[in-house]
Amino acid sequence: MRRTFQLWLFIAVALSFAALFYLTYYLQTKEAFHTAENLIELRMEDAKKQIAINENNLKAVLDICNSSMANDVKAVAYILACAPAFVTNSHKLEELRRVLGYDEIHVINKHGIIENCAIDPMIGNADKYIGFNLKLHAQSEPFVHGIGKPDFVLVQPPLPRGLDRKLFQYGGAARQDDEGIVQLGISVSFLEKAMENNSLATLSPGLRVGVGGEIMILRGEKIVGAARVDFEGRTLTSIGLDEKLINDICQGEGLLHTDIEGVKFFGVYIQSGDLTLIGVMPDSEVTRKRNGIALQLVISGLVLMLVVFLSVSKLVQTIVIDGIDRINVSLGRITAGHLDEKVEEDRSEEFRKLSGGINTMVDTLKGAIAAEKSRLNSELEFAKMVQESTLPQLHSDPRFQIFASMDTAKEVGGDFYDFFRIDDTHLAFLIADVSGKGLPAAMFMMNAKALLKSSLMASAGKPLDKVVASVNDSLCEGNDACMFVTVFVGILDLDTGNMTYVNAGHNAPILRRGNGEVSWLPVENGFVLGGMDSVSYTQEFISLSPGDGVLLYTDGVTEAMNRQLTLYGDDRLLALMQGPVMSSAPPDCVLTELKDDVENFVDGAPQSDDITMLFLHYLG
Amino acid sequence: MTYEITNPPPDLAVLVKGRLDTLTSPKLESELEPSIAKASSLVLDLAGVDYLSSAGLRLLLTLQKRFKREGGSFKLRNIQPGVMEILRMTGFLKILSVE
Repeated sequence: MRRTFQLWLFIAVALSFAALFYLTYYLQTKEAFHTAENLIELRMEDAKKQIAINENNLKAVLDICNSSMANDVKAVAYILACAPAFVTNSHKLEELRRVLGYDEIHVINKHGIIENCAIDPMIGNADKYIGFNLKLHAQSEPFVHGIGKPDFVLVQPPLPRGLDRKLFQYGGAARQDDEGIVQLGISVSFLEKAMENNSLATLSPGLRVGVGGEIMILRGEKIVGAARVDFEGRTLTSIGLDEKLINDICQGEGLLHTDIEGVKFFGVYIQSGDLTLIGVMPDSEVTRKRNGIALQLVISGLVLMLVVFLSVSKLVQTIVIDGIDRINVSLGRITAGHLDEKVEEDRSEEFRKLSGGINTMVDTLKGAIAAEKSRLNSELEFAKMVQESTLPQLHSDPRFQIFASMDTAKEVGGDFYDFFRIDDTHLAFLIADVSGKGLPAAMFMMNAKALLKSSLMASAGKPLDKVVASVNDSLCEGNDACMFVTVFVGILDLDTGNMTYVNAGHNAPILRRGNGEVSWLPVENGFVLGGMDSVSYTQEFISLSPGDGVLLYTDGVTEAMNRQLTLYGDDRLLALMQGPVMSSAPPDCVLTELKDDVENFVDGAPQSDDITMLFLHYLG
Repeated sequence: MTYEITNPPPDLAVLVKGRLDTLTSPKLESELEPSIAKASSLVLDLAGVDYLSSAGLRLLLTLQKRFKREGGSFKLRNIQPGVMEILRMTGFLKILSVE
C-alpha cells in the first residue's frame, strides 16, 4: 500500500510540476517574444527617425546649393546684360568663370545653341562645347524651355556624369541681354560626401538590436542598410528568406520567424515610405532570459517537489500507514488465535472506529466460540456421564475380588467394562473398546453394552462363542457408520474356577498365577464386533486356581505415548507384570501400580485415549 | 500421512506413508474417493505405515465392505510388523486379503 501510494503521489506531484513548468515556460516564451517585439519596434522607430533626419540634412544641403546656384546664375545673366563683352569674348568669360569658381559657364542663344563657353581646363576643352545644341541631350533639354522667358531660373539636381560618374550640377537662367540662357555647371564632389554621410548605409552602427539583432532597411528587395555591413547590397533571398515571407514583408507589417544564414531569428517588419524596415533578433537571444528562468524553475521545482513528496509521504506514513500496520499486527495476532488481543489504534476518529469495530467483532466471535464450546462441552459431559453412569457395582463375594478403573481422555473414548453374576455360580466380566469418539461412539457403546449384558444374562446353556456371534449380528444391523467394538468377555464358574472366554479383536489379557507366574492369556483373535455380520468366534477355556488373577485392559494402556512418541507397549506391560513387585502385589494394588507405571512412562504427555483396566482375582 | 497413486483406476494402487489415525484416515478416504469410485480393484501398499488406529481400521473395514458389495477386490500389501500385530489382534486379518 505504501509503495502504491508513494507511486501515485510521485506521479501527481510530478504532473503538477510539469504542468506548472509548462505554463511558466509558455508564458515566459510569450513574454520574451513580446518584449523582443517591443524592443525591435522601438529600435525601428529610432531607425525611422534617423532616416528622416538624414533625409532632412541632405535636403537642407541641397537647398543651400540650389539657391546659391540660382542666385549666381541670375547674377551672371545680369553681368552679361551689363557687359556684352562676356557674351562674345571667350577669354572674358573664362575670367568670370574663375572669379565665380564654377567649372563651366555656357552662353546659349535663342536657338538653344551654345554661343560662348568657359570650361575649367581640368575638365575639358571649351571649343568642343561651342555649337552644342541643348535640345539634343536629355540632361540639357529642360533648359531650352526657358528661352524667351525673362524670369526663367532652373537648378537641376546633381546627376552623375562622365566615365567617373561624378556628380555634376547645372543651373540656368534667362539671359537679360537677349533671348537665350546662361548656364553654370559645377562638380559637386562635396555633395557626394554629404550624401554619402547621410546614406542609409552610414546608419549601420545604429541599427543594432540587442547583441545579435539588427534593423535591416530595404528598398524593394535590396538591403540598403543593416548592422552587418556584409548584408548591404544583398537581397533577402540571398540571406536565406523564403519567397512567400519576402512577399509578405514587401507588402505590409507583421511578425516573422525565419532562418538567416542558418540561425533562427524572430522579427518585425514595417513599411516606411518607399522603404521596408525589418527588425530581427536571434531566437536564442530572445529566449535567453526565459531559459534562465526555466532553469531556476526546474531546480527550485525539483527541490519543492522533493520536499512535498517526502513530507506528504512521511505524513501519510505517520497518520495512515503506521496505524494500518499496527492494526494488521493486532489482526495477525487475532487470526493466530489470540482472541484477547485488543486493537488500540486511536490516533484518529477513523482509526478509533475501525479499532472499535474490530474489537467488537472479536468479542462477538469470542462469545460465539464460548457458546459453541459450552454446547460441545455439555455434549461431551453428557457422553462422559453416559459412559461413567453405567459402571457396575457388585456386592462383595468371598469367592472373588474384582477391581476396575477407567480414566477417560478429554474427548470421550468408547471404553467400557462390565461384570455381573449370570446366576449364583457364574460371573460374567468383559472389557471393550468402541472405535471412534464422542456422542456416536457413546451411543454405540451403550447399545453394545446392553446387548452384551442381555445376551449373557440369557446365555445359560448356550456356548459363549454363539452368544458373541449373535451380539455381533445384532450390532451389524444398521451400522452404516462402520463402527465396531473390540471385546474380551469371560465367564468364570466361581465354584470350579473354570473360565470360558471369547476374544473379539481385543488385547490379550494377562494371566497371573498365584505362584507368581505371569503370562499372556492364550487367545484366539476373533474379529471385532459390529464390523461384519455372520462372523464366527472361538470360545476358549482355562482353569483358574484360587489366588490366580486375570488382568484385562484396553489399548489406552499399551498405546499410551510419552513425549518422545514412544508407545508403552505390550512388552513393557508384560515385563512389569512379571516383575517382582507386580507378580505378587496384593490384588487391590495391581491396578494402581500399573496406572502409576503408565503415568511415569508418559511423563505428563497428554492422554489421548481412555485408559481402562480390570483385575479379577479368584479366591475359590 | 502422505499417499501416492501408483496405478490409476480401474486397477487402483495406492502407496500410503505415515500414520493412519483419527485425523489422517478420513482425509485419505475423502481424497481417494474420486479414484475409488472408478476402481474395480484396490491395492493399498502399507509399506510406509507404522501405526494404525481404530479410525484406520474403520477405513480398512469400510473399503473391504464396499469392494465386497460391488464385487471388486481389495487387498493390502507390504504390511509392517506393528500394523500386522494390530490387524492380527483385532481379527482384521480374518476378513482382509493380504498379498
